[in-house]
Amino acid sequence: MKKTLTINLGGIIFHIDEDAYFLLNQYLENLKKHFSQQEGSLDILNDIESRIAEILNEKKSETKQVITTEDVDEVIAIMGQPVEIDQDDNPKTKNNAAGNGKGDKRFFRNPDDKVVAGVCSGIASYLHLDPVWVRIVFLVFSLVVGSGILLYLLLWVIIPEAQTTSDKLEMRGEKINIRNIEKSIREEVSELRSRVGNMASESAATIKRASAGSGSFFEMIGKNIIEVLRFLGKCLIILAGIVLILLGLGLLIAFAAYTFGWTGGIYSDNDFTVLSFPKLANLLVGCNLPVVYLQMILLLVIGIPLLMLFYNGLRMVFNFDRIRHLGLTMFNIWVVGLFLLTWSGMKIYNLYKFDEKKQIDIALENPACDTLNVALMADDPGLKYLRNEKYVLIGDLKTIITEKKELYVIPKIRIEESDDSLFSISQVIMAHGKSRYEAHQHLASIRFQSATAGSTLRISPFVRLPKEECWRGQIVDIVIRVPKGKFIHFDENLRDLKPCWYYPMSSSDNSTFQMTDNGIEVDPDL
Amino acid sequence: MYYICSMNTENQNAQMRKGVIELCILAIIAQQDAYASDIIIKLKEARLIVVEGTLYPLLTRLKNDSLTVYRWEESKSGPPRKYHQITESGRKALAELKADWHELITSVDKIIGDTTNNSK
Repeated sequence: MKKTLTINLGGIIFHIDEDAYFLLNQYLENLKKHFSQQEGSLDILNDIESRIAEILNEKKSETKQVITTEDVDEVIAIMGQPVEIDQDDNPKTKNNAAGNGKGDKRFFRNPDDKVVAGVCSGIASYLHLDPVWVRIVFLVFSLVVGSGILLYLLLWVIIPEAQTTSDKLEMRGEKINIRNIEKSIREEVSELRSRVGNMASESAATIKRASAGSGSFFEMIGKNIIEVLRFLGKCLIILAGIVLILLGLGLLIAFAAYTFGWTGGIYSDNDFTVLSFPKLANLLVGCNLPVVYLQMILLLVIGIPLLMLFYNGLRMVFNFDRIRHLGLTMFNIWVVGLFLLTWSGMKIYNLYKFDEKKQIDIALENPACDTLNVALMADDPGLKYLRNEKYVLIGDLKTIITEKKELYVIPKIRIEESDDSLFSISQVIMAHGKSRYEAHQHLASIRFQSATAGSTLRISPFVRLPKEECWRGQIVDIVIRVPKGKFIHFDENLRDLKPCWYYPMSSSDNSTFQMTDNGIEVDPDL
Repeated sequence: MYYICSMNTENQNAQMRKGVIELCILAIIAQQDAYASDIIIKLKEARLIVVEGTLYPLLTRLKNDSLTVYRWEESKSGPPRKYHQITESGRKALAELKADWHELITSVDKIIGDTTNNSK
């Protein structure tokens, strides 16, 4: 709580804190004393009073009714102490005793020529250099040592900003020579020391009164620290923005490349190709849904969030105003996309809803033999694709898409233990469709051959589909039942095919296996 | 920050400004009748004054020398304002000062130009 007084200053009524009143009164008394010998001193004082009233009146608002010491301090800083006025006016009558006797060159941050906070520019003014050179030195320091940034932040905190005209005039110093540099550095250090010493010995309030400027040393430091933190925060936001831009743009390009098949396919390793989206989509939904339609839906559902990532990154870096309703509009479009995606998902599910399966038993001439040989059909048209094509994975299914766009699916070979002492072989073909009839049709389109001779089973390397036929999960499983203790041997060319057979055949380099108590194992005799 | 109020004579830059402030004030008033705040804004833009208090003794001096007169004018936002107006003798003085100023610039430029040429 404070006592306030009501005063009439230049014809305007002010409410003023008691301590602020004493400060203002003291100031006006000083001015009165100062101008007393001059002609027309009353006029001068009245003019000054009017101006002070004007400045204070601008500070008054609905919420701020009372003039405080801070306001008066500010007014005094604007109007100037008698000594300052005198110096500006008439240098001959200058009174050095009133000043602190320090030199006229001081270190300030230059707010008129700054990149970050005007530290470099201030140093340049101080040393009479071009700011560009100081900046380059700082930049090099930052890049090479990294301490340049810390040093800069430290200087930012310590060095006051040149706010008034007198600050700015003092910022510029004498021409540089060794003695002057030495002198001024010594002065700066002792000045800083005495200021800190003063802070410690006197109470903050007294200092504020004594300095009568825009704030104490600590206040200045505090203000600068806040400024630095704000700057660092801004840097952090910009950095995050750059990350978002790169992330958004990168993902957007990768996504578009995949969705629109710019790269053809993505090679995951030497043996397999992951199909690009248009080709995969064409396989999966080819005969029923246009691929473009799926691409557009994906563009909406995935592209929009990535685009917004990019957009928000841009906003963080360049700090432009948000585009009105953009977020909401994009969100609505995205929801529509999500709806369409769900709908097409159901539609695709329906394409595969029904499945048909047919099992054909293949008779062996000699089912009681010791070793069953498995080999490829010697005259199969698919043999030429055995080595010179990359496999394409659809799910866990290995396939080959020929240059004529025919789909070749590699059959799966499954080994089971026989119930009796005879070998037996079945061939299971499967297909899906949106109706039982269609699934059956897809089943009938499968081209796959196998034949037996003696104790040898020959199979086609690929399950082929006619060119115009859509792929609806047509696959062939060859189930070979091996009696316990007997052997199965895979021909060399079958190993080249690397069919979808099961462990341990897939991981072993051997080609002969035996059915044991623990299932199929590498032939122990080899 | 106001612990640095002393400008010693070495700061010739500031001194040079001081010499011409009166001329500038007169020139501002000559353009258009002005009150203190108008003049302050212009002088501050030109960085000719450090503290506002400097202006008032000068304005009073100009008035006492009969180079300017003032009148009171009602203001919408506060008490009446003192508007300064240039007199006939003020205009004469301004013309002379301007001429002196240009002469000074030419002379000084000549000398400065000479020295820079010599030093090359």
